[in-house]
Amino acid sequence: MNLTQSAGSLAPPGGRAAPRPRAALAARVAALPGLLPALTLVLVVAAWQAAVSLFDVADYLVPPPADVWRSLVDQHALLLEHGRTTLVETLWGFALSAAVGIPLAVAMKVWPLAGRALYPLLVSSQIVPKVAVAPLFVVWIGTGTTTSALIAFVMAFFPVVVNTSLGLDSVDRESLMLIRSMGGRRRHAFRYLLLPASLPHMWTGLKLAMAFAVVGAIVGEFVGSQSGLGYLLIVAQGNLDTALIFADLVVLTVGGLLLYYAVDLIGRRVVRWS
Amino acid sequence: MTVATVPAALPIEVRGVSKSYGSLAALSEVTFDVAGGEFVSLLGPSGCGKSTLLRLIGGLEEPSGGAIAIGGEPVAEPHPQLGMAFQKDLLLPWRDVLSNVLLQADVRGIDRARLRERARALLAQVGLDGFERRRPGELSGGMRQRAAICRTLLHEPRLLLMDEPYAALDAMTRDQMALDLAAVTATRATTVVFVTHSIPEAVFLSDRVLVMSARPAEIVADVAVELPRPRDLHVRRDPAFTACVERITGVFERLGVLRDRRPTVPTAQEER
Repeated sequence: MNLTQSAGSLAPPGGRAAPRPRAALAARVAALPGLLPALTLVLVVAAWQAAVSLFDVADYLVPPPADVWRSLVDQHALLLEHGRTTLVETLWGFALSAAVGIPLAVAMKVWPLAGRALYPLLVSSQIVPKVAVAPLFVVWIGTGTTTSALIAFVMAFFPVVVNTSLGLDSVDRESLMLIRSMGGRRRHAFRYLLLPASLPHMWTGLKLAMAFAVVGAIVGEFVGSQSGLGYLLIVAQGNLDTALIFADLVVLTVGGLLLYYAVDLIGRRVVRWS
Repeated sequence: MTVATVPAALPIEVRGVSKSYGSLAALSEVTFDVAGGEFVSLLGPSGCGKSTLLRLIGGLEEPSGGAIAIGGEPVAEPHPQLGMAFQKDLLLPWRDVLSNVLLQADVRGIDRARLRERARALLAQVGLDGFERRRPGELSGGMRQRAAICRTLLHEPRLLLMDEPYAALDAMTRDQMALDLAAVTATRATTVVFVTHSIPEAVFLSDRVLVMSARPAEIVADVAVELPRPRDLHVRRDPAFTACVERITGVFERLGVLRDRRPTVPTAQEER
């Protein structure tokens, strides 16, 4: 029957001849996830250490990796305490950007007139360097965690709106007709078609939002704050404690990466079809 | 409402229907009737407005002029008894095959439990048993289109509008689909309008073939296929079958849609 024929066509084409064992082993090792970037990182750190001792660079300019490591270990309580502040601000900024950005994108799709009125403004608002707006927030709400979280939100919000809008617009006319042919109204189209179809784009936006939220939180702490990794950077700069600056940057980078991949991981769970 | 309780098949009346998009006229003054339970094919060259006409009957677009009625009621929105099949399968990639078929129930607010067994039976009928939990991305084009047909048929529609649903399929799958469709519509409880540009397919499936001209489309011939339904594939060697195919081919030749260097086939003496 044609069922078995069609089912058979799903099977991959016949296997190729196996490559030679040594080449195969090298290829397998190289294919280990994260191995190549990790090796590159080790090489860079080694080159850094070699360059610093070879050219006798002053510690307050570029500390050797060993000093940075020592700073990380000795100051870990300080870094963690300030890291927690930055983490809270980042997560608030991110959550707000999703909570405001996604409904706004949906609203602009539901009321196209509002969308046409708002969207160009939203896009042009991106030309304004948001770092430059930060002092305004300080004037309005003062310094502290709230300000940093709000700046994180302002930075993270735009990619959520734009990408969710893109996703909602990615549905073709025929699919909408299909829903209508089933007697479906606009709410059915949203529930069964537009919202699920926009999820992959939405997650692209959320990943970007997480990366931007970290930047926003740091900017907020630069402008006015008494805690957080951004504040600690300013303090370390004042003390010419370059090793602490580097340690701070390491914590920021690792934390930012973890947050980004957390969003990515959840996205892969939600969007299993693409 | 009342329609659901009346068992009689739904007739379609199309009266002087025109459709233009801006200055582009797609349909001009199209008039025809489809009796309840009849299977009618709209046959014409690509881009002649067949799909537009089908969407107008489906209530998915509004005509620029003229009127369409289904079961005596003017069309204002998609008929509650409508089942529509599109050129593309339009399966949702995030739903598995069974859920895609059940989309028809979800959107119509019918309890899934009531139609799950029917969905499985329909899938089995088109050779997709065992594929219920696969995602559309894992299926071949022919399998996807068959799943889409199951979705169209799930709620036992009494009005079937099909827009070249088999256009993308290979010849053998196409034959199988035609046989399946012939079996499904054999009871004549369902009125079918089927858009195609394959002459043998139209003749094989239909009670009547309406031949359309190029844009702006008009109906240029109304050919009755005097063969009992449902038919098997061997009917294609029946003299009545070949006569119909020849006659329609002749119409297209006279329209200039088909051009042949040899003299025109002489069987087309009963043209309207």
